Amino acid sequence: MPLTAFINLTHSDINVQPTDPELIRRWLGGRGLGAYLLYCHVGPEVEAFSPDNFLIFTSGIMNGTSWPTASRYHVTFKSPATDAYGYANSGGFFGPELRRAGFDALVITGKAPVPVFIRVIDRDIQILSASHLWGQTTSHVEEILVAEAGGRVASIGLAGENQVLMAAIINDKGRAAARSGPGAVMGSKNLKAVQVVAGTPSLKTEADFRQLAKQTSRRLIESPDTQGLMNGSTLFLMTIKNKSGDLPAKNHQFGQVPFINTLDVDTFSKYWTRRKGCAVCPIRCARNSELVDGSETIKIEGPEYETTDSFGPMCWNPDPEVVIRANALCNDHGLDTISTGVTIAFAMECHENGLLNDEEFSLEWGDPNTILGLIQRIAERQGLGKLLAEGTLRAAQEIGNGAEKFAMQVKGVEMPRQEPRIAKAFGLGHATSNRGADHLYALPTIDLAAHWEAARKIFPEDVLPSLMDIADETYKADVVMYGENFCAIIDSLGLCKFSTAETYVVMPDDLAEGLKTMGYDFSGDELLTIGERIVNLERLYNRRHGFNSRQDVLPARFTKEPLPIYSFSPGSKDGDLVASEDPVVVGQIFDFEAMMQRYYKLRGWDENGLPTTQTLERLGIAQLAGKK
Amino acid sequence: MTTVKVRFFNLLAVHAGNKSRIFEFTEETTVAQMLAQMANEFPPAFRDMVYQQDKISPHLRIFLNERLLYEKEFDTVLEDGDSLMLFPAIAGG
Repeated sequence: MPLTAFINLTHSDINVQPTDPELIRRWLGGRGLGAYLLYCHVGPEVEAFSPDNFLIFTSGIMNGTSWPTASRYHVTFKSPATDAYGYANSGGFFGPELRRAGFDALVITGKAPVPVFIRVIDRDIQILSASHLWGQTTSHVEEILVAEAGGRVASIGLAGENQVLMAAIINDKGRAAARSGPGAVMGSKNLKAVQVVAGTPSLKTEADFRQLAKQTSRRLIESPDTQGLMNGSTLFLMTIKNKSGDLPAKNHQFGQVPFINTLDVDTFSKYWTRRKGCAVCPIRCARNSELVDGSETIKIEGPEYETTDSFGPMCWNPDPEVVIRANALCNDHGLDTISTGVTIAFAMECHENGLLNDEEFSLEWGDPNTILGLIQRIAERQGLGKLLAEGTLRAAQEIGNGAEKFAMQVKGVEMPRQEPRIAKAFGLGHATSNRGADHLYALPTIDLAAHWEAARKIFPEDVLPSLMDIADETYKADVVMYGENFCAIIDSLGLCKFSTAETYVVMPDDLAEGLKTMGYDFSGDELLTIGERIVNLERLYNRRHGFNSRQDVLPARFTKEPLPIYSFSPGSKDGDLVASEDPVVVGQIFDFEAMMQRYYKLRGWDENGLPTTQTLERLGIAQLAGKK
Repeated sequence: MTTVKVRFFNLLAVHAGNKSRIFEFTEETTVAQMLAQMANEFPPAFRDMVYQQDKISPHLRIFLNERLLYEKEFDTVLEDGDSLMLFPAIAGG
């Protein structure tokens, strides 16, 4: 039976118990289990950097099996960025290793008196000195610990040690549990790394499970919806997003760049050395890149799309090598590439408007020294990095004079790389997400990625023409709500969204079939109800912190400023594309409030965005809701 | 005479100048041939969305009678009364 370990770093106390099977039935594992544990143990009186905060590593219940893309683990905590709910999720090989070592959850509390790391070898857990690791980069920490004991490592870099609000936890060298500040919480506990070494190569499953997993892999490999990811990594999105106006640029002043030819798949593929996948993944969307510059060689996994937009178009930077260097720096220092790039773009726009200057860096759009230098300073909390390490919301409050309008964030977390005036369901999802701006909370791709067949299974036939029109706001709430419930299941099973909510190759009924052969008897609809329960519990967590509809808002730019989109043709001398004289379309949100109110109504929440008693009773969490 | 209704979605509708259109053929025509005909007829921005380096773009989703076509099916011969839906597909990231 899988275990939950409670590890108190203050007292070096380790208590291992079998996980209550009833908890798994109600919350699955991964994100759901983490949400439940955080809700029950970390109240509003606990500050994010208090030793009483929890840092909960959970595996999903499909991790460690051969189910395709079951590679992801989850980290749940009270976030220093939102000052409320927080979690992050990462792929690679750490999640399956944790599961195979026997654990549903490592629940880490307290604060070590000196830097430590946790070593888990199968069911044995040790808290060891990290004096030789503190101050080291994440890649170096991983090399040291793997050489000592093997297995997989999740660690923090300088940014986590310095409690930078956008600090990530990095595993498998290039994979990041990044969003909403998990690395900062880990650093506040003096915890440098978690190492897991599993003796069991894979978990025992029945023949019919393995057969189904194999068939599902085959479907994923053959689907038209995965071909772009397989052949071009997530960077295959760069060109089509530029054509569509969904490539945020210059801190969302634009949705396109004329220099896309230097940031597309063809350009980055010149740096690729190897195609790569996470554990049990048939899609294998990752690429290793190598940049050789004189005597210096930089090797990274990536860059992927979110990172490339953050340090490329968002900072108005056309140089792919700056993106690769920025990615490498963020990985080594343990920084969220999205939040870091968006924060630097924020600083550049503040400078453009006369609100911010720096002695060390020009803060001019596209300046490589500013981009790379500020990453270093943010991780160190030195120079301007001291201000920017707090993220855009808090930095804007400090700068004042209207700087808030340049802060592209929701609930204190910087926005991922979609343009809400074009990808409207994503815009709504960024606002509703309970962990702050997030493309993966709802991943509402049904309209944007043309999942017509999935839409027919989920929604009434007569609404489809309107629902599948990305500019039509009528049913965006429906797409977001379904996506949120589905994503909560995916995160709780330990799966990647590229097999599920991004591509809709695998749907809830398929997951239910797989789980049945593992001994879990759920229908697809029952799984979606569990997803709904998780989203509601996360909302209740934020409700306890005084959150309501006032936090479910987008920056004013998205509801006040129209976004003209142009078609491009080749032609200029410097290789840049030339925009059409007139826009082909104008991106614009017409009635954000109507989308939000429909979302609340569909959810069974009141007009303030809070679950009604009836909804909580239906989901079986009314009693939990009363818990302070 | 083969009559096929084509529905365009999102930016393809903008570039095609219409949300739907009826096409009529007297000769046997495949899905790929029909795309080529549309690309010749509509503005260059339409062609730019449908093709990538002279191949049908991996971002184009083609539904024949509401079923998603795989690349190997682009040579399917259209029949009278068929309906096509064309979408540009972008995803999250």
